[in-house]
Amino acid sequence: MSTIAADVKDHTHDDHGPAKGYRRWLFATNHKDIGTMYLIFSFVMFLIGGLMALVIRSELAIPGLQFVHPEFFNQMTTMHALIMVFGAVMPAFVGLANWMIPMMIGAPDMALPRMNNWSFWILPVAFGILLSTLFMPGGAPASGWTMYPPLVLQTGDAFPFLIFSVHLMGISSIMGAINIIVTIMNMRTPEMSLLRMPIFVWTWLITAYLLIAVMPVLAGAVTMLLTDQFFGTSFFLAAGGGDPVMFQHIFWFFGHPEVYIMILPAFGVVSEIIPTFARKPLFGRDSMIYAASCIAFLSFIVWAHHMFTVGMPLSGQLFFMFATMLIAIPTGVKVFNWVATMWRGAMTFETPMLFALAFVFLFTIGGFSGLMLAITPADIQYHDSYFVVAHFHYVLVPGSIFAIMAGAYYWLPKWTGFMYNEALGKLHFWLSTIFVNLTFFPMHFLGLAGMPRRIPDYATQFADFNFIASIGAFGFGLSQLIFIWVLLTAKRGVPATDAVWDDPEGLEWTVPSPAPFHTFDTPPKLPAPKFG
Amino acid sequence: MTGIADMAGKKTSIRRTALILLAVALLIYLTFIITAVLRS
Repeated sequence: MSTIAADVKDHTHDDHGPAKGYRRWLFATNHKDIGTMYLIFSFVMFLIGGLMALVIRSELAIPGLQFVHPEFFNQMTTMHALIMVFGAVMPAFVGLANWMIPMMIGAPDMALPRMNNWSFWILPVAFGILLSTLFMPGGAPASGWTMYPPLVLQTGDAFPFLIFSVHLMGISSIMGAINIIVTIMNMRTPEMSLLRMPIFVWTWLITAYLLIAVMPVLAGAVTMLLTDQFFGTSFFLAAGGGDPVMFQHIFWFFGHPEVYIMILPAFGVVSEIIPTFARKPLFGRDSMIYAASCIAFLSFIVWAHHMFTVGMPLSGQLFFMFATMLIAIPTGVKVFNWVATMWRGAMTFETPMLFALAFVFLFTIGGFSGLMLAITPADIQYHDSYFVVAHFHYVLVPGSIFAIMAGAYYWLPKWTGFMYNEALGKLHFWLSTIFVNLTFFPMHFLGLAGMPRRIPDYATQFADFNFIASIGAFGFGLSQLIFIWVLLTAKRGVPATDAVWDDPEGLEWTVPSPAPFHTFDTPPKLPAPKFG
Repeated sequence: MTGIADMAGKKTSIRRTALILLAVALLIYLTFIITAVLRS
């Protein structure tokens, strides 16, 4: 189970191009086509989830109830989170993986192309079901993306549809993860040992193992919710002898590794981009791999820091507090390595590098507020406040989503064969960065001043910062229209060279731009390491 | 038509790896439910 066989026989893939019309997409087995579909789907979900965020920010712009009923507000917060986590961030990284991993490891395609097709096409069905609940009696789920019982059991007709759609998302993720692991372990070009794999491939390998380990846990938890609701069981119902806190333990045993599922591939993208634009090798390359592995391991033993306030023994509080703080060590290794990579580098600041740099700065802010939340007595004060909302949005928006944007700009010329509009890319970056901070930084102050999360109205003392955050949210949303224009005009630029950038490292830069429909007919030779 | 797995000359290994990973996922799913059943 190590590398691709050098002997490629009976090869019939280079004699045909893509199918015509809808068949190309519906029956797609080509990793590039499926990657494109994942990326488009995730961007559509990003826009839908973003519109929901704007409903939330409109309602919160000034005190009092303005636009929506509180019940609908709760549906918006719940749906926004579910769509952004499972529909936008995760599929975007799977899209990047589909496009780039086979090209980076010298494979002709993903190992299981038909399963790849299935993994993707389950997603529109899952999110069609989830979005349809907005039109059902009782409305969409409104209990938060965490689906805590007994509250979630009060969901109306939407409840079984919520459970079914979460199951489908899980099945899709597990199949995608299996495909990625199988591809990496079996299809690498013969010279590529594990430690020579690109960092993006490494972070995705670790992420895929995390997915296989925790998505079944979420599936188990929601299956038990379903049987509690419809089949008379009492797993989480105190009245029947069950334990609602047990759901929280099971959910967060999934939920915390899920956080790293959304950030480890982002680390990989940034680790590819910074060396290219600093024109230096990645500092501490092997330590980056070990740090990512450490983070993945630690993610399994910190889940209860999400639930300090439900009560637990002092020993439990201490264990989860210190285990959580330990994550700062491998994460610090990564941040310092990125900085050391840039140190004395011949840096240029094209759009991918700008997004990657903003990632390093702003993700670190989210990391530090995470450390504050890890402190048990402090967390008991911060819990369920806007400080938590500020924290995880810093990790996920200028963290994960900026890394996705960085990756999209970095690899776009390789995908389309043309250079995108650099001026518009930079404008997109600067407006996004200004508005993302305008949106989320005031939320730290709101949380520390005591504003709870998931409420449609608030005391007047919170008015100013909320108004600023709402302006920022609309500015951020409008800034994404620039990105849409950049994508729509992506093929109007000057033709891209094969290497695209200034001598980047990796097999993907040795193939023509745009990458041919079938990339490697025979396992490629690895170029000698550029930086010794 | 020759499949990707045939091209790689790794059909058996690819199938075995995929099935092992699928079995692990199913095992984790069932373990959590069975543990909860036994606990309740």
